[in-house]
Amino acid sequence: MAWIDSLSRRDFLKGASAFGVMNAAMWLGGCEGCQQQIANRPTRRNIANLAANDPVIQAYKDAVHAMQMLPTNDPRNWTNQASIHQNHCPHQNWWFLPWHRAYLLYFERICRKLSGYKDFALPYWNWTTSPAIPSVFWGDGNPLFDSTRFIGPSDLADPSWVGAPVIESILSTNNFYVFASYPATTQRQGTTYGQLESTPHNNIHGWVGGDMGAFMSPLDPVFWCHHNMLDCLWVEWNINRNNPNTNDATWLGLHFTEFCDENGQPVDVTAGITTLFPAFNYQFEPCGPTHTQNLKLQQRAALEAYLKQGAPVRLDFTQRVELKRTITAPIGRPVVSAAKIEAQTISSVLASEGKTSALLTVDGVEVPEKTEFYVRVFINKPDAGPETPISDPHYAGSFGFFQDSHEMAGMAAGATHPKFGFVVDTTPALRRLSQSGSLAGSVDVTLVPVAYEKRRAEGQRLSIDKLELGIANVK
Amino acid sequence: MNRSRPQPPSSALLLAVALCSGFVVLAAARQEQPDHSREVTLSRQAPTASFPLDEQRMKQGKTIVALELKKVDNPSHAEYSIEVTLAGCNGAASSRQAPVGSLGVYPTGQEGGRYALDLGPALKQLLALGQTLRNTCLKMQLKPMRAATDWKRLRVTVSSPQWSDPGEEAPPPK
Repeated sequence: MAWIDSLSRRDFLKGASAFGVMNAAMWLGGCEGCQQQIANRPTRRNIANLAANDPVIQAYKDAVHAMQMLPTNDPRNWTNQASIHQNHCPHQNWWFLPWHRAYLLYFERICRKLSGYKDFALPYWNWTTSPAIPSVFWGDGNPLFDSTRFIGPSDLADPSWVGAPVIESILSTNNFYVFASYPATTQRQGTTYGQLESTPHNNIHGWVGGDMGAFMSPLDPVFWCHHNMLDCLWVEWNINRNNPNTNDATWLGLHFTEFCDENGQPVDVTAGITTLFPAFNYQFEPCGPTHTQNLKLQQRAALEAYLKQGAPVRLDFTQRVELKRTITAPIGRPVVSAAKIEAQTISSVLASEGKTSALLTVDGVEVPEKTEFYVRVFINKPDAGPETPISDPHYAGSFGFFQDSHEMAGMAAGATHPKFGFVVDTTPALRRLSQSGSLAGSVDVTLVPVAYEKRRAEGQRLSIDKLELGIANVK
Repeated sequence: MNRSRPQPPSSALLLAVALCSGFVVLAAARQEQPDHSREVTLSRQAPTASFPLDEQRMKQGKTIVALELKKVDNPSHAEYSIEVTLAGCNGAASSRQAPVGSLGVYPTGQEGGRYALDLGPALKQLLALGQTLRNTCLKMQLKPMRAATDWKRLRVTVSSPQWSDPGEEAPPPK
């Protein structure tokens, strides 16, 4: 279970809420047609490419104004949001990037909700190509203006901080620590600045000055677009240039619990989960000095580099039952496999209040040449077929493929196809069946390959190395 | 604006200016020489310092260096940064240089910090242009953040380069 073991830690299921329901569902089962939704995830744009009356700019102004008007007991209130930074921001250590990524994600969601603009994606300020603070941040009465700044609209950031040669140099290191700052053991322990933090980050803060020069810097609306550029450069370094993040468990496992979602509810997200955000939640217009837009790489790297080479910490499985090995089935023919699991084991999972889950792990799923189908999973329904609705109480979830079709088509005949692993949380289905009294001592799993609507999948086949049902501690 | 007629400078003033100019030139020339001392203090009067590279490590591809702000004397609260480049050791204006990064300070007023830099990309660039490793130095230059910044009394003491890859360092203190 190469990548799923590496991706999935006990915090994964909990942290997956950060993806939003549809994104988490793809990997945990229960979502169909997610590829399209992920492919269409919002694009964070270069603010220089947006007209002053662009809906994104207007929505950002509306959202900032709305947050400024919220009562002080609302965690989404403008000053309260800045206080999160003041009280919790990690600097001069390796949580600098993931913490700010999560901070921006939830801020973006708040903006989306309060502006009422459902397509809102936070724009970024590309100081390399536009070294002055963009014009939309200036003007009395403008919610995006901050009067404490030390600079004016025509001042330019120094090329030694943000110029293309220095940014290119920073992006050229392949060392995570040097790029993203050094290890620490606690969230606010300062150790050593990496180059992204020390050079463009620190200097832009100090140069803009005023609120931006201090830890209440998010009071200045330009803060969010400044950090969005840093996030974009992290994506450029990590995904587009294939530099791996650390897989150190200490880094991955730190929980950030100080953020709130768009409804003002507290959230809990780990640093490890933030590495997946660019694959699921948003994408960027290119921002690196020498970036060449490469959609193939974006799609493949996002899912392969992150999901296959992610966190090293494994789910804490207490029991694994092998259901089947080496499965090959043509599309349209369900695969049924059964395992005996003691009723008491299932009962304890259902009684654990979410502390344990029954996870179906599907290992070594060969990516077909044409990904014209996906796979539905049913529990204790051996007669399930493509026509069985997903509203059926036995339905546990689904998994699909997300692979660049051009790359697959370009593979030589007979070449080994890449293999993915998937996990489906069967606990909700087991609970439904238990409540209806239709759960006996054994658990059947039926995999049903289903062609996508209006696609032709004849002649394709589903090939799996191993199918297991496991009981895992997830909290 | 003061529009009074300019007075001819006295000979004493001219002498003082000449002495000061000579001092500044000497100080600048001294700073351009490779510095092997443990620490260097940068100021408006001596804004640059130059360190030789560890050739042995560079040849092994160990190109990561750490620099530490050891002491900051900044009574005027001047905002500043320290630009880091690789350049020729002789300080000639014509020598090639390549940017590495900058030691920025956030929040402003912070009086210390340790910075890691990878010299590899800049070194590769210079070597490709025909510069020799032996004649390449790590150069630091203290710069005010904004043109109007009053940095007359700013003094920043920086450690000499600590040649160390992250993997060679002890884990962070608990």
